Amino acid sequence: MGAGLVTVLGFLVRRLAQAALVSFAVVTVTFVLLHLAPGEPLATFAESPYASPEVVAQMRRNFGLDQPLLVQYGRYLANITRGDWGMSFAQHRPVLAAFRDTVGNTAVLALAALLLDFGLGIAAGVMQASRPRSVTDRILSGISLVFYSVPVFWLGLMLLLLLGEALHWFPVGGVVDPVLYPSLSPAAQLVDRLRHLALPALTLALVGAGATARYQRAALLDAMRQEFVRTAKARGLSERAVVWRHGLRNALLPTITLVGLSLPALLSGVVLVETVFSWPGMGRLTVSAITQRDYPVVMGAALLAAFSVVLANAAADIAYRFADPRTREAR
Amino acid sequence: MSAPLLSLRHLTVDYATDRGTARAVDSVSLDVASGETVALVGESGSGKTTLALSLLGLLPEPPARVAPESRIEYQGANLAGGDNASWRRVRGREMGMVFQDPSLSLNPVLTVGSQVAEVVRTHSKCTRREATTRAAELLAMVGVDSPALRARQYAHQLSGGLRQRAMIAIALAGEPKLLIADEPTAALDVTVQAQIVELLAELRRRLGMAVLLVTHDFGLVAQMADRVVVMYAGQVAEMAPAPVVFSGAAHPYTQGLLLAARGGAGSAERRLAAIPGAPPAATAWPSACRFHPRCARAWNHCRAEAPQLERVSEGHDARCWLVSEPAGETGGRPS
Amino acid sequence: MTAGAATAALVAFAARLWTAPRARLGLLLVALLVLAAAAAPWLAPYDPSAQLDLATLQLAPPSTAHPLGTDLFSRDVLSRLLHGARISLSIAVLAVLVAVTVGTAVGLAAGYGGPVLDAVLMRVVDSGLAIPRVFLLLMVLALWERSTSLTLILVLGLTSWFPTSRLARAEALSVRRRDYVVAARALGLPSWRILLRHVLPNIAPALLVSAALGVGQIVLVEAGLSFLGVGVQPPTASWGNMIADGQTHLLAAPWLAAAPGLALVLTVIAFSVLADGLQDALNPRSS
Repeated sequence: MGAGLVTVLGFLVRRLAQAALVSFAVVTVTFVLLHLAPGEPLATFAESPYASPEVVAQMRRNFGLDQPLLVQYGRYLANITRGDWGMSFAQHRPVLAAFRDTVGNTAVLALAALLLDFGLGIAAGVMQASRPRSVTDRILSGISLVFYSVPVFWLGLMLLLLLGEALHWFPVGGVVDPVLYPSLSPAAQLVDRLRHLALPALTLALVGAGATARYQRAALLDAMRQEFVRTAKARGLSERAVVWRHGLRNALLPTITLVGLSLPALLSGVVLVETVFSWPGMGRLTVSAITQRDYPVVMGAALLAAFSVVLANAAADIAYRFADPRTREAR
Repeated sequence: MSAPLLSLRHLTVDYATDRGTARAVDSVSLDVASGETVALVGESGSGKTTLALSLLGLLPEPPARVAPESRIEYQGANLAGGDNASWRRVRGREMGMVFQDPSLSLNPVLTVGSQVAEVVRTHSKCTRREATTRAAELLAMVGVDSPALRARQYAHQLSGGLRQRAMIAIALAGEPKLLIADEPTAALDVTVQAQIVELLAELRRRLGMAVLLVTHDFGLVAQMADRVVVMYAGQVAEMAPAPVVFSGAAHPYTQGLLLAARGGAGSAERRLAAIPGAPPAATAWPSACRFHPRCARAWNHCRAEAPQLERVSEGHDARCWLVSEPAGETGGRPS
Repeated sequence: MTAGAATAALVAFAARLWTAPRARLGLLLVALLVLAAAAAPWLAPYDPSAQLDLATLQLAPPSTAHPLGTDLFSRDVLSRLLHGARISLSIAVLAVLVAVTVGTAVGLAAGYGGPVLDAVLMRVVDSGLAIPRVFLLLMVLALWERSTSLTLILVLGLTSWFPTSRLARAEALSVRRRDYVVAARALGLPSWRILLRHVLPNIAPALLVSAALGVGQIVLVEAGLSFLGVGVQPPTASWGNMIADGQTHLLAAPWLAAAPGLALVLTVIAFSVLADGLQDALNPRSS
């Protein structure tokens, strides 16, 4: 057990080091982009109507813009690590402070969307793979294709139109009811929040589930082709036991990795969906920052999104490692 | 004579392939009595594995198709052409199967013990705890050391021999009356092979099970078989009690196999390869006697008409013109 | 595969392409789309930016004169849709060309060059894949400020090459050890020549599949950017900004947003089917 613990720790350290390396590369790439842009960095932002001269001057000092490139890079790295991501021009406060208000909302939306996405996608994939080439399979494949091909913001609008404005089943925007919320009981408040969360999360989930279903179907079909499935049948196990206990247990392993891989697309969708549903999260903040030419916020949001992806992928790899008994104790 | 446990009549299996329909098993009839061990011997391509799979309804249909005239009678009831529910009543409970490669046949993400226990629970009503205890007992019965510990381990943590023992335990968990073993030692090291053979022989004695042993290893046949059925090109070439086969086999193919087996040392596959030529493809069986292209003692009639399976002596049948009388012409047959 | 064998394989691939039913369907759908887009100036009943009659034709519902109705500025939606197809499709196709070219070049360099180059380039690819597309695009567009079609094509292409590079790299890595490559190098052939004649033909089919999928994806991304207001700028019609226009009148004139959206869905499906068909032709036994 002692030796096992060491190898496990070794793996964890290696995986997290890899995550750190990619994060470092991401920061470097943003720095390079900042300096590749035409004109002096921050020149266009100095023109921004929101950028006061003091803020611009402070950023110049902080990021050492009059120093040689390598020094600038060093200071940039140091600042990012320290948590000094610059000042938002529009909000006149540190970028990270601006994020604190909005990150929570985006996190809730993303998490809800992920749960729905994988819930729907796995269910569909299993239904399809247990009866390959049947009518159910073909219909679900078609539906997956359609949802996979739909622009997420348009789907949001259509859902908003049908379920929100036409049928009034769900509210059409925001996180909570602006007028009634404070006077509701805690239970009713939760319901209100869920009702507001439903449409944006569903929009993101439907688009993601199209891809997830396809993936899960392929993984399960693959697992069912393995020898041990035939052996399980030979023992007299029911069809259901064979599919769920033997096929799916194996086919869910690659799905763990898929969680990490779907995150970038999900976060991209979040920006659009937050705009459609007026959801006060990082996405909507970034879009308004663009129109306000509040570059530090835009860059900070990209960095934060990238770090989330890197972290999620590391977490998924670590989870996979522990979920698959074959790799659990391996080096 | 009591009725046989398993009775196959005219079992025929066709496969749909790119090159046409292949008849992998051609009208095979054989019996397995209660408690008897029958060895099904042949090269790869003889149809023996297809036959074994058909006994539990495990052939993928399509592309395989069991011909409607086939009868697979277990305790008198015909299983052929049945639906999934009727097969499930038999699988694991009446007939168990041990497959060739235990590393592929065990689910890698479930513990070995849980795979044994699930069979116990499928075929008898007992609690989870009872099933786990029974699983450990079964593992002990097949000679797995520290059965309680091993039950909690995964397939990749066990050696080849232990895996095969686990597979046998799983096959026995439903307390079947017939055990079908498809090349149970082929994927194992030579030293481990001997242990598994010992185990199978002992289990047979102890549990009184009938065994259908599909193999090309004559060592295994010698140690365990009561009767031997030799298959070639989808048909039964010869069928006799084991001592008869070893002392006086009638069919040239069987004689060739025995010669190759007794001959040099080395793996069973190498011994079998000592018969010149290769088995014919199932889409193009030779005309007349299917073995004649490779037979050293073939004569005119062998190329003209296909021989039928005929009685040579008590309990001994062979499909060869060397032992049966062709209607009409008697001249030209070598003495 | 030697160059000769690779060429023969490409020809066989083209032949298989026509026989695979999904490929044929995909080609047909895409061809229809491309034709409609290309013929837009002739097919469209009106000028897409013409404000026909601000007095009476604002937000008019579909009718025989205007099959898809009119928008807030009394412009014919069908005409805008057809011209929008032109814009969106040409941007996507050109962007995919950029992406595939850059991705292949980087991937081949990484796979064939030294380990240092490989490590550096792959870190860049990793970081490119880690930053969600929309964030990356918003960041780049914020920096470069201008939103002309050319900038859009370049920006979209330069942010979409990462998966292609992985593909090219894998192929280069596997090929560099093959006998005929070692022989070619021993003969003194320059690396670029080897890559061109031996590696490229092998990955060409996979690149085609990737490109077909990529067009569909980029059409969606461009639509998203235009929807947000940072892509194709009004008054030029792009399906994305048409949907944005439709958003403000969602309940009153739903066709404004519905039509371009449906067009997008159909376009992406067409390219997906084409990609699947190409995949079928690549691996005839894998379906």
